[in-house]
Amino acid sequence: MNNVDDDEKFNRKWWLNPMDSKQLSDGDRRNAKLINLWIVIVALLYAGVVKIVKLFEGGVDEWPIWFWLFMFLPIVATVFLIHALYRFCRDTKDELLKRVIYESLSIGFAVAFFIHICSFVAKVAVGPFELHGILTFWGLVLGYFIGFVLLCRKNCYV
Amino acid sequence: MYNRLRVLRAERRWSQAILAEKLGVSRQTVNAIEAGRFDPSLPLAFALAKIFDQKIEEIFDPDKEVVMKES
Repeated sequence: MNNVDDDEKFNRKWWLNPMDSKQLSDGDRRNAKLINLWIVIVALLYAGVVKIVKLFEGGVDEWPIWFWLFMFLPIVATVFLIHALYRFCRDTKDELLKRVIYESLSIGFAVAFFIHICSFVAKVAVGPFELHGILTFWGLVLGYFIGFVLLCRKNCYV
Repeated sequence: MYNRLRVLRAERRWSQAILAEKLGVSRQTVNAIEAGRFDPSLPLAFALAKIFDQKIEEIFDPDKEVVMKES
């Protein structure tokens, strides 16, 4: 007989994969994982571009052709990320998972905004602050993922 | 929002997983609705009403106090 009150939590190591794949349909799981995957790819590509751009101190005039192509990769990845978000909003059936993703994005943007304001104040008070953009961007990404893991944990997607 | 989901489910001897499968959502969503932590959308509320053959207002009561049972 089925257990009527099967509210048990699972013993799986939640930090390895915050979503319990068995509890979601294949489509919902794929949609959520695609968003996370593209966010990681976009973050790494932007980080890579920022790192490499410092190699060419002479500015835009010294950029080789291959670097121009490399510069567009984060933009292409961002288009895929937006597409993944659109598909998630359109196709995902599990309403709680939708709320988890929306709230995680909200947390990410809130953290990014906070860091943006703090670094802007630091820039005004102390002077030029090169890490302003990078910190804001990584605040967004880390805020999203920390929020995602915590909310998955809270909603028992573990 | 207070709801009678747990009672209706228990009457039919359905687990949360079975109800979730019928609704096309995860077990966590059913659990969150039952616990009053999450209010379902209108389509999901209608789906619940159809599955239990009840009116929506017979399942959900916005005026009644939620007795939280955390999983």
